[in-house]
Amino acid sequence: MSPFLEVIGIRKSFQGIPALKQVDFALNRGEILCILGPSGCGKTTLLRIIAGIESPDDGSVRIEGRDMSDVPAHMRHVGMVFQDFALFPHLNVRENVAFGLHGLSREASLDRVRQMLERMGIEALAERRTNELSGGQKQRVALARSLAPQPRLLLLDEPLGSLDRQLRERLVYDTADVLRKLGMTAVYVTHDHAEAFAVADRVAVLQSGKIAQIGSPETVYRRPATIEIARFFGYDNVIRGRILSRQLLDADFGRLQTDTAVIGKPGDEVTVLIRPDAAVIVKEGATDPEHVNRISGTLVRKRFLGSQTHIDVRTDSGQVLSFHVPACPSVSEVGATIHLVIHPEAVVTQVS
Amino acid sequence: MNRWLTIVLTILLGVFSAHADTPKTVVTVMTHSSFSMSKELVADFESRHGITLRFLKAGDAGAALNQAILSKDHPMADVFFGVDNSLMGRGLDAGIFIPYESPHLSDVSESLRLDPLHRLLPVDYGDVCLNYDRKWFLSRNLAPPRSIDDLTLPAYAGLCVVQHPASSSPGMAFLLATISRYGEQGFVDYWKKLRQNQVLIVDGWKEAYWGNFSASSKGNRPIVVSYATSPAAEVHFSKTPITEPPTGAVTSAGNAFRQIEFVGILAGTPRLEAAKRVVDFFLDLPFQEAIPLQMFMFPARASAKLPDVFAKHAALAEKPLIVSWEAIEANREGWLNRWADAALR
Amino acid sequence: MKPSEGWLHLLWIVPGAGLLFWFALPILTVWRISLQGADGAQWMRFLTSSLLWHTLGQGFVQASVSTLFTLTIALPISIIWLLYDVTGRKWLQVLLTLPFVLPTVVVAAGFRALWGSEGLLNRLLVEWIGFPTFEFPYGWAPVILAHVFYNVSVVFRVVTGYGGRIGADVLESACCLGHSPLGVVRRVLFPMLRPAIFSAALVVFLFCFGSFGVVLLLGGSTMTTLDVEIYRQTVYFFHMRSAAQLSVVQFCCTLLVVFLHRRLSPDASSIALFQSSAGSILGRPRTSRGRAFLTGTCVVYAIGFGLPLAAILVQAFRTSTGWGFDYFSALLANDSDALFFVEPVDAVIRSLQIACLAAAFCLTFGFPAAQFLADPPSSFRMTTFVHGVFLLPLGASPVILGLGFILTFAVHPIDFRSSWLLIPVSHALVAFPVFLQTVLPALRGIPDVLKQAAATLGSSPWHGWLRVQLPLIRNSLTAALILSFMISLGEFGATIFIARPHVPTLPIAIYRYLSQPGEMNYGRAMAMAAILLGLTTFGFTVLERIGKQR
Repeated sequence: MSPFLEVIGIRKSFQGIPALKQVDFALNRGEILCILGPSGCGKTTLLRIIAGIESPDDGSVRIEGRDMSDVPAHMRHVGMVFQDFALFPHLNVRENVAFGLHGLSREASLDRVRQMLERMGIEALAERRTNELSGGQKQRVALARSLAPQPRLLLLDEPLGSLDRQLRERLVYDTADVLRKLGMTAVYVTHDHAEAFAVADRVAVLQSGKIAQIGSPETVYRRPATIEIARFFGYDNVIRGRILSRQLLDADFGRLQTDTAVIGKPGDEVTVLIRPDAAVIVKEGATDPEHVNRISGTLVRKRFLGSQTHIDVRTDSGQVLSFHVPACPSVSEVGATIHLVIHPEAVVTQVS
Repeated sequence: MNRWLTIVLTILLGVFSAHADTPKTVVTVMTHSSFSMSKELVADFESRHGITLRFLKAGDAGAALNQAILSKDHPMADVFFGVDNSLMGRGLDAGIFIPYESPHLSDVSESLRLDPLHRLLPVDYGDVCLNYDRKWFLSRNLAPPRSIDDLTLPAYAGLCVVQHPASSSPGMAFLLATISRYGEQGFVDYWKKLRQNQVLIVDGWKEAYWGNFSASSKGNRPIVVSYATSPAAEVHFSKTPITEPPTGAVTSAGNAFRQIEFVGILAGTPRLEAAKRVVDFFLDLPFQEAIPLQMFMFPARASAKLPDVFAKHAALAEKPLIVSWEAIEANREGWLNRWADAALR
Repeated sequence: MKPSEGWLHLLWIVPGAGLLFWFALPILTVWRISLQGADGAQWMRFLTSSLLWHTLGQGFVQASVSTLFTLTIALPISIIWLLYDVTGRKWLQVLLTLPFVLPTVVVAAGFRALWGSEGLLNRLLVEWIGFPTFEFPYGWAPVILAHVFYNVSVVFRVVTGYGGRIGADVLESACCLGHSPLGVVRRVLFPMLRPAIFSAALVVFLFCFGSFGVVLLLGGSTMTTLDVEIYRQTVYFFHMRSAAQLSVVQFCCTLLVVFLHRRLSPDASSIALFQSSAGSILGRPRTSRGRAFLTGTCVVYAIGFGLPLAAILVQAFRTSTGWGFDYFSALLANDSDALFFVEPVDAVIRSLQIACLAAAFCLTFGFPAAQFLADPPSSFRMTTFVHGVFLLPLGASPVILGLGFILTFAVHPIDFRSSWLLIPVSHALVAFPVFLQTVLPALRGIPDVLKQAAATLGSSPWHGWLRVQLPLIRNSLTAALILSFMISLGEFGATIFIARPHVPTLPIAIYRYLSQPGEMNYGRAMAMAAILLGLTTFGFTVLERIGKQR
């Protein structure tokens, strides 16, 4: 059986500037794929091409094995939630949700709308005008509206992008729940990896018009394929190192152990990435005999952020590394010498 | 939206049903906006000859003639009524009229028959001259003007209103009068003096007479360029019966210009015979005798009887000034330019 | 390529063909006939003639002076209106906007009703000192005054409509930065309003430069504009060649101004000629002195703009025997056996019919045009050009158009010359650009994403248009229709050349009554002007109500 959605060799440029260079991926029925990437990487364009709003310069989109090139947007049975929701200002909530219901009897249509509103928990808003809704309410209406016609594929373009953080964190789970309960096949576009990991079965990282990596959230996070992806996931510390063995590296300030197997021969130069959130401050006394994953240095900057403290440490070899450590117990003053232990899981190598 | 659609459809239906009538022979008469005639007379003619008359008023005399000339390849009308002698050259040169020697012409004075080929046939005439407000002059112990020379006198400063010769046919007639009286050079000096004497120049006769002339409006100019027949009109239209006209006309020798109006058949008419009947109708006695009280001009036919009020109060000027239409056609523009330089700029 | 956009080309082909047939064809015919034998040397003579340069020069000076005065008078009140809430605010807005939709004839009649020899002031003077003291001063003064009277509404509407989007926070932050209210206006409000002011100024300049009725009725024989000169060259001198050449120049001027408009104020396309305006930014003035000053200013404006209109009403209701409806009842009486007497009631009905038709024509041709310009097919590169072409009727001389009709529609299948349908067609041409500029910003203001949302919800383009775009622009569309209706109701320039005596429109009937003697005719003219005033005020109130619903 062929995959539910296939995106094959999509290219698209605007006024000569390429937005998508060569995008290929496939999606199975019931799967939720998150397309993750910084703003301007072409993810919205990709989504619009799948929806049929934009047409590609080259390549094709196949849904259930059928080429969609000649199928206009309104015939694709593909729902879409837009970034700013695009609710119709001249219609109230109920009318918005009912907009996509064609060929249903009045009762059936009303019934479906009621169901959708209930599922989203917004029955009370049915007669409101859209300009009387809060951001979160608008998001729910937009989702309800796109789900009401029971599309075979749902596309979500930064559906939470315009909401504040707290609301976003709450809604991301709600949205994921709804999609899973309905067994929806969906492509979800976001620039926030936390959001992506919370929703996705698989994550595709889109960078400068290409899919740079695709895989399960864990794989993508643990083993970013490029430095850019690593940086995007917050691997702030990039250093040079040499391979000692399959799991041991040599850096300027000491030895580093990693959980993931190093690719390469001993003696090869590699790029080493250390995630900033995997370090703990230790007292000098608690020494590890081999000094593995130990960093000592001078605290050069410290920023208190509530539950966490961001610190910059200059190692003896002169390198500056950044870490997020728990604010409790409190961190010493700037200028003091501190010692850190890094969890092997947070160390990733990259063939340079 | 449905309501709008209904309204629009109703109107459209109205439009088309209004145009569904089928005419018999329709003769279209193109004329200027001052043309007037009684319904009764027209209806009588129509029923007797089986011809329907349609009048097409196309602006003032100049505008109407211009439209007739411009559309000469596909004429909009069959007959043109109301070219005067200051414009006839333009019409004849354009070749838009075809000759017709109406039997009624024998009854028209030789002096009015300016076109020997009978392309344009005279229908009426009148003299353009100065009119004055009798009461105004009486109340101020000032003598009314006796000739157009007087207008340059300091005593008459700011009293006179005239029409722009380019936009008004009496205005043109008055300019021609001054050209005829003072000559090619003299008329420029005369108008310069008039200007110094604060003459008021307005666009049309109506504005001058009904807007600025103190005798017939609330205006404050007691002298106006109008027709020698205007005093008769004042008597005829007066709400209270009067025996003496409130205005006077300066009709002394050499102070007026004779304006003659012509009718002609437009070349290219497919209804030549009917058009001839219509021209005959204009020259026939009933129409001729109706002209004085409808248009306040003298009928061209010598044997037409004048109504009482006209016979009593309408005057003909003595020895009106004459400029041939050929000369007018050849010089109109130059004269107008020199006039504008003297009177306006 | 979006799927199935071929049919979109129909949208410009239909209005384009309409313009070609009803506008380009007549004008080209006039040019073809009149410019026969006009070789290079003849054009050189024309281009160096004093006729051209005198006309252009006087038109330019007149339009500049008019624009300057208009801005000087309109800006203070616009800014006050934007900033402060004054008692009678709504009435002031109506009063200031009304002139734009008033027919030229009514304005001219209003001015004469005030200062003319039978005018209100002279009537008062007659009562006081026994005789009238001044005659109507034809020339620069009344023309510029009338232009100001007309165009203040344009500046006012455009500036307040555009300025309504400015939030109080911007001004408040400027106040917090230590600026006096005057400083805030000068350094913050003014720069923010500049595109709107500039756009309005150009529109006013264009209107004044191409003014016809006002100059013809109030200017006397020394005033001229290109339009008036074309009329004179055609009607008085029969210099068809000069007239045609002048109209060529006129087209170039219009193109130049339209081009300048687009070039110099890039976001001008979002400035609608009539858009709804929000409430005041700062609310009621706080000090009693401020209140008194603002109220005083508003009263002065109200008097200035209300007086000519009031004069019409006074003249219409005040007969020689006192107040009454005598002149109105005289409109119903048929007291003439003259061949050409048309009952005034017929003129009213005919005018309404013509206005309905003109609005319908505008809809059929203007709407597709606006739709096309708002959302052209992606492959179409000439949108700006097409837009410019659609605005060309703004700069057409009614005289040339009228002549064009006579010359073009003369051969059998299209012999419309004596059909009264030419009147609504010519009105529709005059109203077309205004219609376009009212609907277009509304259409352009619809976010693309709404149309796309409709498509992803399974609505075909046509279906989505019907369910999303149409409801969203309904108010603008109605406003544009009413505006076209009112423009037609008051149109004078083209009508006077095309109208036949048996189908006069209201303005033509007013014009005719005005140029006939006697108190009764004058009174009838004023009564009809009052009716026209009432009709436009009514239409305008509907327009305002729609504006509020938006």
